[in-house]
Amino acid sequence: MENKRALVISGGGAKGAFAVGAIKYLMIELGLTFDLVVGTSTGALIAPLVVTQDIANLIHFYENIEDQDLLGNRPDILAFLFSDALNDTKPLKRLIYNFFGNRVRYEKLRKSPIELFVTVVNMQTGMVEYGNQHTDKKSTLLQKILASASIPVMMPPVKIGRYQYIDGGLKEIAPLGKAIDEGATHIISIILTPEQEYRKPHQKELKSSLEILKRTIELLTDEILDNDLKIANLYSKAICFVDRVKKNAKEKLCLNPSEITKLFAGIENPFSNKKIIEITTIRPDEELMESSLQFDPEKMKQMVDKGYRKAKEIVKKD
Amino acid sequence: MNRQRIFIKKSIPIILKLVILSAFFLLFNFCSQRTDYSPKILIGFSERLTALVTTTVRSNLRENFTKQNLLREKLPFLEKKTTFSELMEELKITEHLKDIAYLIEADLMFELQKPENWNWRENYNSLEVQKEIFNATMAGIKQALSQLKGERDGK
Repeated sequence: MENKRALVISGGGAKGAFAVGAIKYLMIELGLTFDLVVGTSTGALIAPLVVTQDIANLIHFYENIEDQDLLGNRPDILAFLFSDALNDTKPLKRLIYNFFGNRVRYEKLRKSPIELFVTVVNMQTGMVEYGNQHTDKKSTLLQKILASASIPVMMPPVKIGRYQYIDGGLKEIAPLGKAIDEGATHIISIILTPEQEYRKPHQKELKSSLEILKRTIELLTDEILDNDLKIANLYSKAICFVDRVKKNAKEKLCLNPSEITKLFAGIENPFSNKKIIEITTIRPDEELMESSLQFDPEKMKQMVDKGYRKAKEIVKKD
Repeated sequence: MNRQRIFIKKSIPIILKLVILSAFFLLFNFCSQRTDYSPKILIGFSERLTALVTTTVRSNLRENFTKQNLLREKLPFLEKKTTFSELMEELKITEHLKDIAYLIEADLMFELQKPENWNWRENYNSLEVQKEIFNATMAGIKQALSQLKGERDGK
């Protein structure tokens, strides 16, 4: 089985700048290439530029973008009562369509051998679906990229055909599972929140229902992320364990290959034909910012630098 | 007839007010719509290189005031150079700035290896291309130092 290197970029809004810095280090300084790139939410905005190797524009966008470049404000209470979201995503849609509306840029994405996957959740079926440059039409892929970045309640769902789609982070914020399903043998995952013990507790008392709703989404998101990572690591360890058992059977019990096959006969092995997966995780040591929907160029530049330096610390040159 | 005329006379100011208010509302709405918010897309080779160099220099020198000062002191000497190769030679003279020079070269190589940049690759040794790359790199170095100025001033 061939080796496949995947890059997985989690969701996290403005904190995506951290991922951009890490990618700059991995791709330019280390010269790493990827066979597939999977992104959720802000990761879905980053992923197509990784596939087309357009790191300069990726940096340029994440270092210079401001709130109004992505979201149109709607008055909170009116929007909450009378529309499908608190903000509208027309500016973000314009940004995506301006960029990949260009034929040359889109062709580069379409013809790239690096597989792109962006996660979305179908609001009607509740299933996770993926956008891919080789299986989806251009219009569908661009809509899925927009949908993947559309945080529920904060941004409206995107209608594709007869279904409404929303941020894939609702069910899969760090889509490592997709990378494993696609046969990745080495995954570099960029996670935009620190490990649980380093997360800051929320200091303020939450008074309005809207504040409680926003905090609830944050907590659910953290939980989904922790589970995504736990499952992927457990999966990787399980494959290692089965492999170790087979080695021990050979070395310590002196069983030959046919006897080892007999040992496993009758047991359905969910890990058969799966290679050991190496997972490298790059994530910040502390919370990068309080609200992931604050696009402040100065803070974004600092996050780019943090991501760059963290990647340098974690992934060393061979 | 008289009643009708009085009614019409009374209605005209109300209708006028409504028309004026609507016009104001439409004008306000029109003005509040910005046509293009997003940062401009980088298209040219030079501006892309500048973006990469800016981030490389800034990321590596952040919180390293010694290196920042060294590079600032070196700036007048760097500006006197005319080609990219000379610029790199000058940077590499200072031991502590050698790594920055290698990283800038990596940025350049990353852009040069792209199929669409074959023209830059083929004419890499020409004076014109060397000057262009020199200018793009210098712009990146200066931009990075100016972005780090806030950090040095404790802002």
